[in-house]
Amino acid sequence: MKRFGPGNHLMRPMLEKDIFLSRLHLLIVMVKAAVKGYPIGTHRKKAALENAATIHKQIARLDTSFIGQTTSSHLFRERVKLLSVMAAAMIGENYPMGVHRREAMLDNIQMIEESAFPHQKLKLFDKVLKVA
Amino acid sequence: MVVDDDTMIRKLTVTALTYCVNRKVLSFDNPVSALDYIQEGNEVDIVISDVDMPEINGFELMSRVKEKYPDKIFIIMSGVSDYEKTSQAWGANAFLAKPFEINDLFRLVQCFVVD
Repeated sequence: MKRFGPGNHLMRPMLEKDIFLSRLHLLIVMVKAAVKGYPIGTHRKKAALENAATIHKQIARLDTSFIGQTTSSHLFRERVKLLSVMAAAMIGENYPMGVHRREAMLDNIQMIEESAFPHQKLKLFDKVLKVA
Repeated sequence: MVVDDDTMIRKLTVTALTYCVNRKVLSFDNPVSALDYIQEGNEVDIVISDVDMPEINGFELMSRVKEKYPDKIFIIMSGVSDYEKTSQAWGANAFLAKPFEINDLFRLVQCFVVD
């Protein structure tokens, strides 16, 4: 039997915070993959739009004290909202992505990653992302 | 197919898996409906199920599915560490411990779908 997930001593029910961070992680992967040119099929596009919309709603009422002191809660919220709008525009609507927009988006992602995932590298699973 | 009575976890798992495989991923909030769907002969490649749910639990669902379709891939997910041994004993193909991360779902897809 294969095993995935945290070790036994770290197991517990998933909280709203865990679900939000997982969705945020997924949104970052979705945007990075789109920037790198991985294929976006119909279902992927739908999943990306659904994820961006859910995050946009969730961040408005979520207690973000878990992000620590690296940035203010307000700034973090606004950056996440901005990312969700950027993701929806880029993946869902195919709006043009110039050099400056791309740079702004990657800067925003970097700031969010530093606040929300300070000890984690968000990797792209090449073999999975190639499948579309 | 994802079976979990927790709406937020179910929807997160479905969104992540839909993105990974770029296919429609079915979901059920109770194991009885999931079992009915499978027993009607609908094609399902992989079942990912929580354990503690109303009416029948994830192990019982797995047992009934495996009884009819022994080759069907069945993955148990839970935040209860004791359930890992039970999953193995009941013949699960994998155990997904909670709280899982997105990377765990990508690894799972790479293992059971891509590789």
